[in-house]
Amino acid sequence: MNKRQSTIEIPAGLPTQALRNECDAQAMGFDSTSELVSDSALIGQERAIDAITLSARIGHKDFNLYVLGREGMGRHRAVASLLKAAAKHRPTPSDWVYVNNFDAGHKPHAIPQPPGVATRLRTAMQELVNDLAVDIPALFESEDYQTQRRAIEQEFGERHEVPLAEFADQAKAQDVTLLRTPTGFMLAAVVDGKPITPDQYEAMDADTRQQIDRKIETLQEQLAGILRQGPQLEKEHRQRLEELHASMAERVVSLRVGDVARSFDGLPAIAAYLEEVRRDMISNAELFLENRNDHKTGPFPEAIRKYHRERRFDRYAVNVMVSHDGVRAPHAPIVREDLPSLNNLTGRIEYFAEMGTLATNFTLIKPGALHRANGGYLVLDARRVLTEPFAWDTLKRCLQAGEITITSLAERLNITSTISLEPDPIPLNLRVVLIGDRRLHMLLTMLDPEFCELFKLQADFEDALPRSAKTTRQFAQMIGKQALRDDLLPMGADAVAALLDHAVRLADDAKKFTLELGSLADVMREADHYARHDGQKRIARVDIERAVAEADRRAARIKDRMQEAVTRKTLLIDTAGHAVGQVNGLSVIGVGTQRFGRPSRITARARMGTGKLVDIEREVELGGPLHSKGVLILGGYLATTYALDVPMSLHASIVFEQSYSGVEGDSASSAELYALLSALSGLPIRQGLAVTGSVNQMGEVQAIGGVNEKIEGFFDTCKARRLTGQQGVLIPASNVDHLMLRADVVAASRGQEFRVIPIRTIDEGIEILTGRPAGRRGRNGRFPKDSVNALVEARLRAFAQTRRAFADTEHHGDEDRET
Amino acid sequence: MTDPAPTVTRILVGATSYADAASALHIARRLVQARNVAMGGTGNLGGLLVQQNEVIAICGLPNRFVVSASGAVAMAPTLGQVRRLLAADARAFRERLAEIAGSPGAGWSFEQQIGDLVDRAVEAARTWDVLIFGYRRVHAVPGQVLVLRPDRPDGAAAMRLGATLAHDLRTDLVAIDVGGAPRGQAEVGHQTTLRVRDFETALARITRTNVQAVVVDLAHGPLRTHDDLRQLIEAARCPVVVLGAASERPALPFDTLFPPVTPRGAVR
Repeated sequence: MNKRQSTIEIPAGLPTQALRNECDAQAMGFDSTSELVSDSALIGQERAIDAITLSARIGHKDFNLYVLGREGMGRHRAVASLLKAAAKHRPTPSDWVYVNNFDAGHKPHAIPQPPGVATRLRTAMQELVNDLAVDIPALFESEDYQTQRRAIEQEFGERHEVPLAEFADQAKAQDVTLLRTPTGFMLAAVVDGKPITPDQYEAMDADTRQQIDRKIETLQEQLAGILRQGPQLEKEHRQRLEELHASMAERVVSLRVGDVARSFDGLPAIAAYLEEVRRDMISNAELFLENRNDHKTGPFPEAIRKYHRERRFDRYAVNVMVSHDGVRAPHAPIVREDLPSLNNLTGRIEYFAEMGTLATNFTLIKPGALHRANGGYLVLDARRVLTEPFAWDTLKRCLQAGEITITSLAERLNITSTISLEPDPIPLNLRVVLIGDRRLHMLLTMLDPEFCELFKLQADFEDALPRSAKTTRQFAQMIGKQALRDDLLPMGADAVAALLDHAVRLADDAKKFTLELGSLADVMREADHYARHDGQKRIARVDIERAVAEADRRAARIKDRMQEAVTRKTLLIDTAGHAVGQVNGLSVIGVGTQRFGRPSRITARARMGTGKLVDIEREVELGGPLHSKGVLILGGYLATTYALDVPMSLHASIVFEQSYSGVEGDSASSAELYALLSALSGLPIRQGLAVTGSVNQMGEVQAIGGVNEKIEGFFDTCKARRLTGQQGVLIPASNVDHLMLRADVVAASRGQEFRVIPIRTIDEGIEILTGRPAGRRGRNGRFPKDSVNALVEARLRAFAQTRRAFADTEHHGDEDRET
Repeated sequence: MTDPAPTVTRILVGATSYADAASALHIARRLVQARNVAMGGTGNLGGLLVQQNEVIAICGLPNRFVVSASGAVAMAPTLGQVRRLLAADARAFRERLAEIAGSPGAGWSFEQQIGDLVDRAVEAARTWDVLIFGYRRVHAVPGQVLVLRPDRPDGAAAMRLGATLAHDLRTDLVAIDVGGAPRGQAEVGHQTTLRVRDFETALARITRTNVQAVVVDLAHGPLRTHDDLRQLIEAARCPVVVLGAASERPALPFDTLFPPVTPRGAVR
């Protein structure tokens, strides 16, 4: 098409104040953040704060909390701060200890105790063992004990010996002697003072032999009877000795245990445990006598030896699982577990090698985060819990059961067969706070039916906050507090204003600023570095701007290479002139945390066909579903806007030129439509303009994301080529509120070198791009002559007619052939 | 033997089976350890296993039974079985001797003989300091250590040995004075003294007493003959520790003594 027909000029575009809504440092009302005072480190998160507070204070079960939001929103700090405040109002929970189960050693008992008592009990039991390890040996070495023991031994010795002596007398009286053989005693008749010989025996008559045999047999039975009583007598002897030991030990053990019990008066659980200890110590007093001389204490006297450290006394140890100092710091515990593995959550049972096998006892039970947080709060990172094997499952099981059961990973996987323990479960009453992102929350809600039951509350952190005088002031206070916390230089009002501008840019919305405090703090810290390096006493605007620019520059390698490719015409982008069926689309590329825009050439070609609109990106599977959706909408728009009375007889193809990777999103759908309309109408498009915005079937242009980056991307390309004053970007009018462009773009706009033009409809856009009126369908049902729409419709009708003619020709041809 | 204690204490254990020897070896071990410590010297240990003719003969009688220490009654072993049992006992005896003598510097020897235990052992013990007759334990209740107190004033060695054993076995020491009051002997440690009229009375007392070991001194009385010794062993039913066996008149030529000795008295 020739230039003569371009009657519509390019609009002036948006005024500069609409391109960048800068914060006015003068209106801040302070000179430096050092003047600001703030109690709250969070602003605009009232909803999330209320949820956290409710979870922290509600007493009912399962009101656990999932805190969702983006990284750097201050979720962890907010949770810590709010839980700390709530913890002061909750009572200090009980101490818990594991002690030996004297009836079943593999099932240790868990005993609750008032705060602070557990460690005291442990120390008391250690001292008890140390004392008895001295007292009991002394007792059994006393003359008192020795005398009683010997009396028992003498008694039982005589009960053994007297029958044997009487038997010996009887045998002697009957002329029978006792001979000892390797296998036992033999009885033999005595003849002439000596045991009978075979010859003498054979020489006797039968009666005498029978008499001797009978005598021997009777005595033999007597002897056997006497000797058979031996084991029973020995058993009685042992029992008597044990009774003696018990009675001796009882005195000293009861005395010592009584002393301990008195120091824990009023604690029935401890009293019951100490009674069990007392009974066990009495019945196992020999434990205190074993190998007494085998251990040396070096230069230290035996009296101060730490007997309780010896493994044989483990049975009297007190394994403190959790202990609270209820006097100095009365409040509920807040535990944050950074590595929420199964073991770290529920505790674990350790083992030691003994005689080539693994052994364990209750003293090797180690507490987990659930034990430490019991009665208070446990803060976990949701992703970490979910990625640790069996951790999530176990956490849910504990919360559902309301008790902590220790199960090792090896046991769950059945990869060990060593002896293990079954400790008493400890009742669990705590609030779990999971911190994670929204996607994870959504997945848990969808895929884990137990999640919603156990985590009834969610604290959703806002990403951005609307700008107002009040919130700007709050923002400044928050920044001031952050500077103080990070030990940064105070920030001047101009620096706060610059940071707010950056926050607005991060929010992708000129009416809001981001609450991503983490990102802002990074900029502040870098700015602080520059300010200190320059010997400044406060952070100024220039420092903030430098920090932002440097961050962009560090991430700009790919952007620069792409820009270079465009400049060198490796990537073909026209920024001047006109072309039919060709338009500059805009896309955003994200690299890490940085995003930048770049122009892409979009072309369309059309011919007669069967109503097919070919999206080449989709055909080669480079287009994502949203992009394909956008292209299909174009078909709908064309079909319902033009040549409604004839079949759609178009075959058109659309492509992102020089695109070698995936294309996603529908923000280029308006650009594709412009290219198609240009191809159908034959009207050339101004190449100094770029387009972004999605379109619906009604031809309305809709908002897109990354508008600032897209505009800046085309601006950079134009600037590299030379700004002509005829260049600019068409954006959806609904994106105007999102503009927070770079200062150089704003400056170019101010100088009429570059323009940002908001549009609402495709008709508006095609008019600007082609310089030809779009044209509205008149009462006669037709578009004005030579308007873009008229040309498009005419072309489509022509396609339809050609197609019908072609079909008729084909039809007649067939009839002729049939004839 | 009653002279000042030698630096080397030589102990001979005599028994008719390993079952008997085991209890005597237990006493021997204690003595070796106690004497080594007390005297700063080392001990020699000997074993003598005597195959008694009477036992061989009795085993030849028909329908004979043995009663084990636990009261079980079983057929008496045949002659061949007795020999095999004795061979096994000898092996066990040697192993135990080697084990006990395993302490640094201790030597050991072993001999088997046929005959009467007392005769053979006393004969063999002429060059040994201590002779211990074995007697199997029939129960596990620890008894006293009993000393037949020598009736001569210079016979204190038996009392000292008895005291050592009693201390080591953590039991009471009982001294028996046969035939009247002791003659000028000091009391040793914690001991009980019994006075009996004669040896027969002493035996009657001993046979009804639970005793772990009996200590006698052949050189200083009141026991002097082999027959006395036999009666004592049967009455005590425990190991009998004999001192002064060297005082017995040698019944065998010098070079048949066990073990053979050189003129200097050292073990060959």
